[in-house]
Amino acid sequence: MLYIVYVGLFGKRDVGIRKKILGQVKSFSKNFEKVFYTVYSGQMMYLMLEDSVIEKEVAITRKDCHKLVLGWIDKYKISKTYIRYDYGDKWFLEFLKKQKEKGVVSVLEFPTIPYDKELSNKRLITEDKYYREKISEYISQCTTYADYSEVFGIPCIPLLNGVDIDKTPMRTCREQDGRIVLLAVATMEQWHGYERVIEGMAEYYKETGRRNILFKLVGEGLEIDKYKNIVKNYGLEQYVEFCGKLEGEELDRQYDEADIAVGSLGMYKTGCLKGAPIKLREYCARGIPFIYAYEDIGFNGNEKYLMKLPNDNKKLDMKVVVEFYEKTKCDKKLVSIMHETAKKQFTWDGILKPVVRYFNR
Amino acid sequence: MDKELEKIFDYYAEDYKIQFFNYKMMGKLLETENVKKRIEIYNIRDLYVYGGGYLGVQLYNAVKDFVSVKALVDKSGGLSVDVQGIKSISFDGLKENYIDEKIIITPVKYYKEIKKDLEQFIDKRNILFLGEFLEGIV
Repeated sequence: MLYIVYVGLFGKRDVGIRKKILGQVKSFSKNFEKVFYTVYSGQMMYLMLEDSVIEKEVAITRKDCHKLVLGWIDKYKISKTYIRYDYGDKWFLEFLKKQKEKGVVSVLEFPTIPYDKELSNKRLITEDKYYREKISEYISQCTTYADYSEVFGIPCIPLLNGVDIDKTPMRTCREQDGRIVLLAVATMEQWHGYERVIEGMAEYYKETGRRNILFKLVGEGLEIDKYKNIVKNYGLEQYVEFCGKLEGEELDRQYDEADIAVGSLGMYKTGCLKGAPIKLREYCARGIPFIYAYEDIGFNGNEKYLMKLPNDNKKLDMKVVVEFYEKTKCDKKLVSIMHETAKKQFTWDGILKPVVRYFNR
Repeated sequence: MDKELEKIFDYYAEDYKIQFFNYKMMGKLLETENVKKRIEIYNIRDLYVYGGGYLGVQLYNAVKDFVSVKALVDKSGGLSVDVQGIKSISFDGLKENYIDEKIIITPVKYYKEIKKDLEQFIDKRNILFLGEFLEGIV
């Protein structure tokens, strides 16, 4: 089997996608003999198996990338492909056509639906809109992280985002010290909408809020300078901490020292109302109560450990956050309930079962 | 789409990508910390830079304080950028002087042809493409 990806996985900002794809590859490997995957980085296309580079070649155009992948399909006798959709164009369709002619069984994953507002390049949007309608001629099964039975005329398996439970340890509840620590671990994109938290904190302290709330942001990305400017403008430097990118034990420690995690609060900006981003699954597996603002198909919205907010641009009401904290603080039982929920519902092995069944049918 | 139009379309796409990557790599070369880190990862001490164009000179300027750049190599033996103080040699000059150094190929468009020529006398492991040097998997 070959998992086809047209993006990098090992850059500074690729932590989320790397975890997700390697988690899926690991899960597919339990069902199929050898699972290769591709990575595109530095204008090079790589064929990987586990942690090793098996093949590499310069690929400047999309046509070059597809040509290499088709060559590897032949060379390694690949009979199944799982493709992470990037965007549709003439060369992608040609690739799909050729792999179909070779008799390869393929599943196409749309990481986000709808995604039109995520694309900012007019040429890409126009090109993708034109070609994506023709994909159904070559692909009979797709997946996505929202509740759709069909996407662009292709029958769809709705998936949840999963976690690698072995690499997502349960947090330990910290000793309470009077502070309320909010934690956001993200790649800091526009749809994270953390300005809602910062502006909510500004409002709270303007109205003489008395609790000591600390907001920690872990990760780097395009929005981080914007957040820093907002913090500066409101003079909130003592309440907001930018931790940069953290992994491993350093990240574990941040989870141990936090009370509430913050998921995506700005999905409204992309037009996405429903989804299943990986972050909430990770928060759930860690056992940290969380807040978010969209329809997540993995949660019904009434669980004790979560607080669902309207998907809009309003500032967060910190008094509500404080109430949520009081309800969930130091609740060790809740931590293990959350972890067990993640184990049962959000591991890739369980989530990908219908996809494995499709390949084995 | 008829065959000729399709060819034109392909050429446009290729030209666009080449310009795009040239611009991107020019930018990546300004990230000094990344350049230093990549030199360490690839354990580069002595280096030849292939390509006497903008990218070659830009790479030279980005690495010259951290490695010993033996020369810029260009088929013609000269630079197509008007700068002083950079040693340049021809392909044949490289053939005569090459010992066991790393060489980074900068021209995006002719990468494959250049690599093929270099492989006649240079170990594959010592040949890097600029994009690979800056962002590739090690």
